[in-house]
Amino acid sequence: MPRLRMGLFPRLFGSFLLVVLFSLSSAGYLVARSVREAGFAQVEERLSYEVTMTGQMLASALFAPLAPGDATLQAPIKDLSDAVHTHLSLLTPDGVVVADSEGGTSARAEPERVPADVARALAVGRGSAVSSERGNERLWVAERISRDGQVLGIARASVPTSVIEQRVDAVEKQIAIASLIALGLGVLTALGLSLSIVRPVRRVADAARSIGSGALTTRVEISSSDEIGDLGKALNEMASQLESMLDDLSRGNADMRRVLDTVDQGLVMVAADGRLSEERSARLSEWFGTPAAGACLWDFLGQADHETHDRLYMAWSQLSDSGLPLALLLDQLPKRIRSGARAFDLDCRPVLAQPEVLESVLLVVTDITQRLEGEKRETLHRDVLRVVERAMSDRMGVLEFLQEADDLVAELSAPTTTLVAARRALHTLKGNCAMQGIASIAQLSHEIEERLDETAAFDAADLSALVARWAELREGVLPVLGSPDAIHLHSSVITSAVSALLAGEQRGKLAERMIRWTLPSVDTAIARLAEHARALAQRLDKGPIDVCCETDGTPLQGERWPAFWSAMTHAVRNAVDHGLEHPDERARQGKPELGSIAMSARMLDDELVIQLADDGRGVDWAAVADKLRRAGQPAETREQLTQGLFLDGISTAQEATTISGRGVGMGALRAAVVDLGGRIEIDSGPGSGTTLSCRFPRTAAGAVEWSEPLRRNPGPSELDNRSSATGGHAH
Amino acid sequence: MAHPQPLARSLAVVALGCALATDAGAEDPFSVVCNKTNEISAISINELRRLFTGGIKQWDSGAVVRVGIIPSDVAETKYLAALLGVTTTELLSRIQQQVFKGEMRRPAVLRSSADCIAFARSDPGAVCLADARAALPLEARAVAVR
Repeated sequence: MPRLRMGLFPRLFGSFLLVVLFSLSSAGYLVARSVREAGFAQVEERLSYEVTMTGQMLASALFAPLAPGDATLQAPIKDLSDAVHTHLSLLTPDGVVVADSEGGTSARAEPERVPADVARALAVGRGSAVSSERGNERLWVAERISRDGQVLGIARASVPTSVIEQRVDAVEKQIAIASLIALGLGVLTALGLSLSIVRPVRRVADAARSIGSGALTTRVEISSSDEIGDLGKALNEMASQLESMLDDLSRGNADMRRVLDTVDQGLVMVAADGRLSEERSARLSEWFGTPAAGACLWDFLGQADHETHDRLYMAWSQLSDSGLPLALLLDQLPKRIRSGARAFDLDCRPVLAQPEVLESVLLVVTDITQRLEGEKRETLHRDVLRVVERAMSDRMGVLEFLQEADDLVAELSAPTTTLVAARRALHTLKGNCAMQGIASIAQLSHEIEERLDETAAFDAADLSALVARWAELREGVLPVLGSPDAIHLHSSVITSAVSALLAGEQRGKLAERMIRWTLPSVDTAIARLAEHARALAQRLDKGPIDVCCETDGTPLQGERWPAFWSAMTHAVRNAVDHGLEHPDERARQGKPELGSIAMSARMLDDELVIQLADDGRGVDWAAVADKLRRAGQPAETREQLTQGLFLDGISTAQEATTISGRGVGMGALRAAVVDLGGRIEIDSGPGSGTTLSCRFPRTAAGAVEWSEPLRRNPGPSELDNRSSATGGHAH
Repeated sequence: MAHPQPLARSLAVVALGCALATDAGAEDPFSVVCNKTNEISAISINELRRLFTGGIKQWDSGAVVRVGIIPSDVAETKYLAALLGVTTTELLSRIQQQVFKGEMRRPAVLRSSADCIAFARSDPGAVCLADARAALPLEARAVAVR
């Protein structure tokens, strides 16, 4: 039902009019009623006076009570009636009319016909009544005439009520005319009053609208000192204060605008529904363009990147849809995004309407591109320094690492590389870089592995970044290392060779000595692995460990050995990360506090045996069997379980870390061993550690047939004097 | 009550006159009595009529006329009515009408000649009829009717 809207004027005018009408009608009704009552009362009073006077006159005149038939007073009554213009009559005490101004007398009235006024006069002295007699209605007043206690008769006077009514009607007509005049005056007064209220109110309302539309200089003309005048004054004061406040706000806004235009961060308020406020710092528009009116955060920041758009949208949706704590939900918002070549940090600072009720968010966007570039350059510089530092003691090892890493990066980049091979190459690159202390590439490789686990496909951008990072490192390191074909020899080696030459050593032996200078030996590789194991134990907070190396200096020929040693880093990381227990756990199990790892590389009979043993917790074969069964692989015999350890994706680790746990490394190791024509064995029991044995045919070590048994020659590539490895060759 | 016929009234007056005539020379049975202070010595019939119908309201002495009458059909009233040439009823009605009209003061209502004498001795303006044989006190005196 539509609601009727009435303005102030019709309401006021209507109200005043109603009051006037009600007052006039009430007054008219009361006056008319009073006039009627007063008219009758006045006539009754006059009649009473006349009958009283008549009675007194009669009482004086009569010597005895009036008797029926006594017409003595007929003429005087008639004369008196004519004089007072009132009908008069005299009655005997019995109610018989003996004189009547209108002539005639009546017989004695029956007792039950005695008029009410007469009966009342006989009873109490005076009575009045309106009754119809003689064909019309009259007002009768009767009074008992007594003298000396004797009732002499009854005097009676009457007036037709029509006469009274005529008088009342005349008065009422006058009242009606007066009421109409009063009504007219009332309407005019109501109109004037209404306008006197409505007009100033309209002026105030117009001024308020004008002020509301921004014309703060608008003022109301004050023409009265009443409440409306006070209202106008209050409005003027309010406008003045608003003007002053707006000036202050404008100055504040101008200051804030200058701040927003010059601040190096992107600042913008984001409503709880994700909509951006109109005010924002200039940097935001410079970085992301000008957002459309009412644009949402995810549309603005994610306009060039669907992933950023979706991440922002999903996380922001959680803010209103999820019942989780606000701090947790805010923490789930993306903290870093990229836009083109730039990277930005996002800092969301909540503005709460009340606890846990988000009103808006102050978004602080910081361009971290330069900082990241700087960090990247610094990291690269650190990595280069680390490699160069390592090259100072193991140039050959570093060169082998670089060559191997070049091959791995090339394999990753090759379009024909399978996903499995690429995953192994990436994992091996990560391990080798970690062993060489190249944290940036190890970390990048790990991040790519993480994404690979999620998407099961390489991202071209990831590969490009990895290739570029590796190229930068390589370019930083190679100029320092010099030509890969150059041989750096310790002075003692030269001195020893010169001494041998002067001592007349055979030419063949001298040639063999010099050939050994060009070949890597197991000593160097084992020592490098030992160093990696120690560094890894420290990094994993497993304290110092006891690393024991035993080698016989067997030289290794062939281009595929670097791939094996690279793959062996996976086994070393497994041994340290998953094999060795934490010192506290070892103490609880009654084991020596220091974990122990033993590495050996020796020529036994016709086989080159390279072993890696730890005294850790051993392989959890039940867990291996469970994982194999879940992967649909056979897991009935020990052989099946052993072979299962080398399958991609099978790992006994609870979770993958940057070190190990993805189930990729052992597969890469077996592939490298098989590539060299060897085989791999595992001996492990619960709590008794694990021994990994890689057995290669003699031919795998190279085609050189040495004229004398292999012996150990300590050389500059010995990396750690604490190692028990005693064999090796000088390079 | 029916009014007396003119003829009957005339006969009554004639009869009363005859009766009075037969007693000529004899003393009147009733005399007009007034207060001693009233200096009037005699009064005519006409004056008497005017006194008893409100025509004369004040004595020459200045006293206000106050009529005394026995309002019943007694000898005194009959005698007065006869003097005035009307019946008792007519006299009383006339007095009532005059009083009602305010033409005269209400007469003092008396019951006997003694009341009349007492009324006359007490009121300076009193006038009434009393037994002529009754002894008048000093404060009252009889007025001859001419």
